[in-house]
Amino acid sequence: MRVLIVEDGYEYSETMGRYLGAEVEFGRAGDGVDALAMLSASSWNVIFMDMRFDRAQRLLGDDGAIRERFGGDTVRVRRFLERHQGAYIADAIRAAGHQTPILFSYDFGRESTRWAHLVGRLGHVAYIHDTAGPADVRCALTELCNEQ
Amino acid sequence: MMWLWLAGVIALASPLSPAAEERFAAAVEAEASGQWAQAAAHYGVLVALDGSHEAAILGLGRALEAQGDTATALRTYERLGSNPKGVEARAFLLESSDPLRSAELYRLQQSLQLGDAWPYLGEARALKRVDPAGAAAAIDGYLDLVQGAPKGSVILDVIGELRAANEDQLAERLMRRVLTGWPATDWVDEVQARLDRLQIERAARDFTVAEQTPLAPAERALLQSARRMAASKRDDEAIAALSELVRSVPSNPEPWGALGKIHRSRGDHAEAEVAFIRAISAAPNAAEWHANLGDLLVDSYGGKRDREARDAYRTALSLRPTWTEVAYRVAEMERGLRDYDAAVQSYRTVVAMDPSGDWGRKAQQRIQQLGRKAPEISGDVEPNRGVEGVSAEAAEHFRLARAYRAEEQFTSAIAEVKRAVELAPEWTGALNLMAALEVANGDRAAGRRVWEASLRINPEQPGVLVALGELASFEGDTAAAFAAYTSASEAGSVEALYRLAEVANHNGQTNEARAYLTRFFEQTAGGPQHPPAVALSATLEHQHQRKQLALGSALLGLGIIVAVLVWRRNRRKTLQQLLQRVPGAAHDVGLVVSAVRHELLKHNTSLLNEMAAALEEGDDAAVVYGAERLFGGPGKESVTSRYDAYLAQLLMVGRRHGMHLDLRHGDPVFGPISRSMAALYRIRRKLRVPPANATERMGLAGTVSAISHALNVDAYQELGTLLSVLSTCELSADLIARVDRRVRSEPGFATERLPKLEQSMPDGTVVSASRGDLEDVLTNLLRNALQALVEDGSNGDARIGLRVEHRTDAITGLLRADVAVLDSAKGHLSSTMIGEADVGRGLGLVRDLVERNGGTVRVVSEPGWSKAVVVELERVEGGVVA
Repeated sequence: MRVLIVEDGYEYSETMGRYLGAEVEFGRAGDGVDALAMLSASSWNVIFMDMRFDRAQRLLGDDGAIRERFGGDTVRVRRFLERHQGAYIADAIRAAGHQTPILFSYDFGRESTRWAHLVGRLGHVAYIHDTAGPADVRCALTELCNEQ
Repeated sequence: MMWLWLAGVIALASPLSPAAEERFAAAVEAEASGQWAQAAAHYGVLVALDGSHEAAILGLGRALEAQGDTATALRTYERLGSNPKGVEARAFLLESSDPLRSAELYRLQQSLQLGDAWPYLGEARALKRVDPAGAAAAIDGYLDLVQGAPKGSVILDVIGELRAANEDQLAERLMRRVLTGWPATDWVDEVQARLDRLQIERAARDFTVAEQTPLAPAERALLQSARRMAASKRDDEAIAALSELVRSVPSNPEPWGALGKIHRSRGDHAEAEVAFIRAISAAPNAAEWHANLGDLLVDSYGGKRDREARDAYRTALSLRPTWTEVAYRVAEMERGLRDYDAAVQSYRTVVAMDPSGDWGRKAQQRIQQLGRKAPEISGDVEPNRGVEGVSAEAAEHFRLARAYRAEEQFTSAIAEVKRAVELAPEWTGALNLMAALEVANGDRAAGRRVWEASLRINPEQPGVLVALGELASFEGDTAAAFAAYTSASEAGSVEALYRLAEVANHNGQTNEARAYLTRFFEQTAGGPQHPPAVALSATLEHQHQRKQLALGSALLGLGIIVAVLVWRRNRRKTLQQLLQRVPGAAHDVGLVVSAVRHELLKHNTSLLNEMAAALEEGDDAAVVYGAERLFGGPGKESVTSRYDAYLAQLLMVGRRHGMHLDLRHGDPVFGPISRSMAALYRIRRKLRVPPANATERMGLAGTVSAISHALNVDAYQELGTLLSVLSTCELSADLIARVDRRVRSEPGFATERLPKLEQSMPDGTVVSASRGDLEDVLTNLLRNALQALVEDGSNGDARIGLRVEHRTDAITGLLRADVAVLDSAKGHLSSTMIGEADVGRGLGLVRDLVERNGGTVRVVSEPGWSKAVVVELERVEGGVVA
């Protein structure tokens, strides 16, 4: 199974690399631009997507509409995009035509309406709860991959 | 003996131990008074005991740097790894010696502190000489992020370097950006002048024929004639002759240069500048015209264009490197611009060029004045603040005095500041510096006299009163110290409260000392960051406990002691009690709770289950890896110590509101987490080196599993529920009706006939905002609308409404609520006005509160209404907002 981890740090890559064993091959993209490039360059079975990207330099979604929403306050625009960057990257991945399943590292357990909206928009996606350990992640990745 | 020694070291090593705090306070004090070696020694001990003590490592680095040991300072900062403060310190240290490495570190800092403008400015400062285009890009980053007016000096330097590197387009773009974006900054005139000059040069280049035309014999005769006319003060005739000449041979520099000199002698600066620029355009490689232009800029603009002048001199010198006089001028300009490192270097060049001549002697004197190491003057010096008529000369002596003081050359510093005081005897800033220098030089009586003189000129100087108190305290006159600190406190000094606590403690008045310290912490948000105050607080608390215990045992024996302890425990409050009493604390508490939940639990302790499984399966490497993540290595903080730090932040929040929280024992949410964290801490060694015995391993696995459940399931849910209470609120009809009633009962509206609030809202609107903030927002919006209706004098047509609409963000799926307050009053209000700093009528507060809760405010037009102020907030489904 080839898993593309999209995260701004290295926490998930290191932890999964250590605990998920040799049967999984990992790649890491530090931001949305890298993720799109890696998806175009190679084939991946599943994407593991972090949600908050406060250490990435490049953020997707910084367009006129969002600037207008925050009254041109670029600091607040950036803060918002950092907080929800995972959703923006996922959207861009689908917009680029990639249908690879996505596993969000974000607990949508108490946000059923929001999750239904994202499933409707993004298709083949799932999420893990906040305190999921590596075994839970392995299970969720395998399940998502097998559903393909 | 060994046990005693060990106990001492352990006490000192503990981050919370009074001994360590005392040593830290001593280090801070030594550093503040410029005793670098002593400060380095204190910080060094702390670092040796706790290799991850950030403040001590930074302090040690600073102290080493101040002593000139930059190599060791750099190694010291490197201990902090990718800690942003450590990275910044290294970047700053390397700016001159290794600018490219420095820029690289600033870029790392940009990543570590996203959204912070300063690292970009640092990168520009590092790159300006070696890569002006790169520096310009960094300035762009800085301008994108800076709040308020940007700092000019680095930007102006970068513009100068861009021009010198023929990067005119980049320079022009940068100048236009500054002029457009910040037209009111105090250094914008210089930018405008530089842009004008660029345009003149460009026009001149366009006009001038590429090849320099030599003068024909008749033209040279006319030039000589014009020069004679100028020498005999017949300026008008000379100008007429030269004007004719430049029309006929515009591409020869000599007539332009001569014309420039005459204009300059007449005080026609603008005309002179144009003429010199035309001369430069005609002969860009002739050093003379660049130097002439430099002279003009220095003499004619009162310091406003000194940077440009410096650049012109530097160009002249690069074209004629043996021109000693210009080399000296470069050095003088650098000195005037406080670029002392560069100035010393340039003076040394002059000495090498002219070792036994006048220029060399002058340069040598300057080097001696500036000292072996270039003195640094902090950028915040405002020598004539509050004093009219302080001359430039007095200000210069003041600056030099500060520079000497930084070098601990007190005699020279006193001599300079005395000259400043002679020139400006009413200048309290100079008097205060003189007093401080006298004291530093050992003459406390003289220092006191000068401070007292300063107070006679301006009695409202709390800082001076504190200084007098310190002096009295140092001399053992606690009564005088107490009086001075009391006056300082009355004059508004918060620091004086800490000093009063110190004096009271010294006099054995523990309760009074605690009362002063409580006031100190209440009045300053930075209180928790004041290490001596925190240390004194710990000492007092310790003393207080001892007193209580001693009193109890002496009077009533063990039973009373238990009663006292129970009383103390009960006296402390839970977080819930704090939030009930002070709803406004919800935001600060929420930030900490969210960090504990997200950073500590989600990103760290979620590994525990895996570690328990690894223990059972005999996978030692996996256990050790997990232990490294949780407890870190050298220079890395453990999850338990980070938890302690978060608890300390919550205690400080309580303290600021006058409440003593008991989080570790009595709090229903944090008590269990604290116990689990303590249990985790107790088994850290076993996790680092897992036991070989199978029974022991299974036992440890069970413990880890239990801790994991307590933290990752129970605590995670508890904190989620708490966050839900703290950061969400139901926007119900009841809440709106209550706010509406409250506003209408205010004195300004009670007697007015006001229209009923028209409401339209769906059920179940829970928004991401604390209750207190949401009520304040609605109160202000309704009050504004009603006030506008009253002022408008509207009759029966007047309307006011509140409408809530639900929306969904397409990409993120976030649910939003648009809360619109509508009215029919005339009067202009726009979204732009809401964003302005001085927006009135409580809208500034609305904006701040809404933004604090992640929302936005805008004004829209609405059919049937005059306007609608729309507050957009995140809508919450089930409760927790991550």
